[in-house]
Amino acid sequence: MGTSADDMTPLERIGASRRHFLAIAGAGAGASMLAACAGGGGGGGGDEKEGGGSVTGEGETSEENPLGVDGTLPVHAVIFDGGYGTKYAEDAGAKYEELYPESKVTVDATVNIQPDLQPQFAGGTPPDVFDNSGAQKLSIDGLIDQLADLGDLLAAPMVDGEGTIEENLLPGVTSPGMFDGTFLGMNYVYTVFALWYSAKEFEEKGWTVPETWDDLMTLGEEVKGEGRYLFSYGGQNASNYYQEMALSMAAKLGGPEVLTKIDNLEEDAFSQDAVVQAFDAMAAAVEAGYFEPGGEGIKHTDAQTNWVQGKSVFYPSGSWIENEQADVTPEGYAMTGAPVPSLPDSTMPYEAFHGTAAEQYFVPSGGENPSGGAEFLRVMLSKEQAKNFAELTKAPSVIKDTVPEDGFGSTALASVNAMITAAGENTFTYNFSDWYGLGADSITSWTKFLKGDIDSATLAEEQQAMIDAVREDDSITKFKAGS
Amino acid sequence: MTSPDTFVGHDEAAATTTPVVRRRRRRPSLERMLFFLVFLGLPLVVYLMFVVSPFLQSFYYSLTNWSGLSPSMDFIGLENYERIFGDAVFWKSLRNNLILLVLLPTITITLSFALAVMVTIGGSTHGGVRGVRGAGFYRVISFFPYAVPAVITGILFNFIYHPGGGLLNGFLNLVVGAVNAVIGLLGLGPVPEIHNAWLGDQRFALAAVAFAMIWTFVGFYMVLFVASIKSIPSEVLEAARIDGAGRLRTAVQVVAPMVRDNISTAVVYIGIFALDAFTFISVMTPNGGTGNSTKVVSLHLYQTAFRDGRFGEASAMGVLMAIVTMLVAVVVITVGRPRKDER
Repeated sequence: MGTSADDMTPLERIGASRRHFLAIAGAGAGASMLAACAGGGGGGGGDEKEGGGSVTGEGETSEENPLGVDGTLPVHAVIFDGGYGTKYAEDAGAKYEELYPESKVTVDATVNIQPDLQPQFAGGTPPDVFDNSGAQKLSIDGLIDQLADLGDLLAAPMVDGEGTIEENLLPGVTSPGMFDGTFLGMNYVYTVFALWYSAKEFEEKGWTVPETWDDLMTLGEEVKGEGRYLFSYGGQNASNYYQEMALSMAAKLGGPEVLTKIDNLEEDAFSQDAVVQAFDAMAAAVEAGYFEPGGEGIKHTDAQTNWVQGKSVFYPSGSWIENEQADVTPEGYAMTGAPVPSLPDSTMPYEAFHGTAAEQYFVPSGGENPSGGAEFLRVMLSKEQAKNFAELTKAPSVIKDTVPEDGFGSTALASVNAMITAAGENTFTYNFSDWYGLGADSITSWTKFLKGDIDSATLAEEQQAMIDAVREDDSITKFKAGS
Repeated sequence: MTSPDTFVGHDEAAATTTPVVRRRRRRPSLERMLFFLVFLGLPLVVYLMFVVSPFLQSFYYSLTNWSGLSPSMDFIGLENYERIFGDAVFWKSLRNNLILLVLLPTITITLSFALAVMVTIGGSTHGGVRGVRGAGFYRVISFFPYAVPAVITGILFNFIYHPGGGLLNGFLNLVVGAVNAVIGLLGLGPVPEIHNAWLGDQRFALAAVAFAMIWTFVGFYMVLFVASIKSIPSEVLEAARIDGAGRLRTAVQVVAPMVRDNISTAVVYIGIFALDAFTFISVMTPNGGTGNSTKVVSLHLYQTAFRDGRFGEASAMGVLMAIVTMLVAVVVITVGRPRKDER
């Protein structure tokens, strides 16, 4: 029996021709095709404004129109359709059209910011304003040259309140949007990082929320006696929530400067005494078996489900957690946030917390109507729209005094509001992880640590090596903290 | 060997008798031109546009510092390649790819070939050569996993490997329970229950993901091998049996050489898959596992491009992987091709 063409089955023939095809074409091209089809499209020509140019338009400025908006131009906004939905932005768009009847506002919703917007940027036709959020947000390092300076927006008066916009912002809100002293990103949602628990459980068991690390460890022993754990973690993709908790404890111990040093990628940032103590404290909890075992094999969704279903007591996370867990949280759980416990001799009070702002809005400098994009943000930042946002989403916006005490019926929002009031100016934040995209690398180290594979000293070394690598890499744009 | 000759001969005969036809032969008819245009020209254009040009384009990007967002980019020569060669995570990822490259084809093809043999020639030795009883049923069933989308398979295996309520630990603990019952009678201490986080444990994670991939592909390649084994004339297999060859000997020394082309095709396919493996890895271990224990180059490439905004560097990784893939294809095809004198 020969294998000449006549004797082949159709499958064999396909196989044979495919084989040659593969050998010639190299099917591996698929991998590089991923990156291939997007760039060099439009080129944009020479009419693009340099990044960092002021956002104020050519039009005349006045009290009502401080940004010099040309009211006849349309505004194109792209909103990330995530946990907060897009209703709030559509409402702001309607309000904008009310202020500028000749203008047409288009609010596009997407969950895929990066795939949707990247071709528009590369082709020189970005939107006027967009919300860079979600798992597929655009990387900041690549974006920075394409953005307008929003400094004028901060200095502009409120649409419906006293003073300028900056005066009405909660503390720390502008920090994540500052890049090398230029304000490029207006973060809209205020995020409080806290230790979340069931107020109902604490009430039933007569527990008090531990304010010091020692109290927490004592509670851990009691919880362990019930066959439960203090914490759950999702090591596959979210162990860095515990990095956040440890760094918050370090900041409360040594002051916000501790985090500034890390943000500035200093050489011994992770060997600062406050960081060492916080990491050691976490290591003690790992060693004592207060972390639910098996976390290294699961994702954050699984871990958080375990937590609300009672396998563990606390979960460190941001104030989006109530919304995120709404589907699986048992009735009457009364999810409540508290500041992370203090280590002995902390310089900041217990009430201090990690407060930052999320949902970062950018105005591309190369858009059709940058000043209209900024004006859209000014409308969103009005008291009226900020209140509307809080009511719609049960999350606070960055504008002060827009949430009533009952938190529109949400225990989480009420506790967040109380935390904001109690802390006053005592908030802190860090940005290195977002600036340099270090989340994944931190997860790699933190999962090993929470699993018990490495000790706190090794963890600190790995974290230090991670920021050292960024510092020594000349091809990465560096940002300065606290400027 | 006869059919094409017959056609040409007939055509020539017609040409010598009528000059009209002769002229037509020199100038291809409209129909013929259309045929070439549609069946050759169009695919070629599509192929050049969507396969070759992006490939060349990404090679160019790999020599630039393109961020993926800027309309312009600077040419930086081989700097991206230098970075990659100094990047420990890349090497770790490549190592994982190479482990998969050895593991997946070996296990998948061995398994699927064995199953294909069972359902085609593994049956009763009385009467004609046939498969085991119920072969048709097994053939259909074994194809099912391939019909499930990879993302769903990944999610399902995440549940199976779950450290708390997962099927795997649950099953192992049944065994542990039985063992404890027995050794308890002997007065020995109980074996502890198993709560392994299979996808988080560096020792097992890659194997656990590989198992899900093998589970998906075995049925498909079994069907492929069944088709080719069916095309072997039954006289050959009967002759082998009369000569005293058992099932194993028939499978290894008679059937396997006769379906060698299919096997090497399968090796190339699975090999290429092993060098990619993005879907399974990113669904089951989104960050590449504890300590990068399951990170593969495609995931590293994706993170470099879309998380770090370094499309230039990511393109360079893509180019490197394309070269590796081509090398693998060439090696497999060369090894798999029978020498001339064997035919």
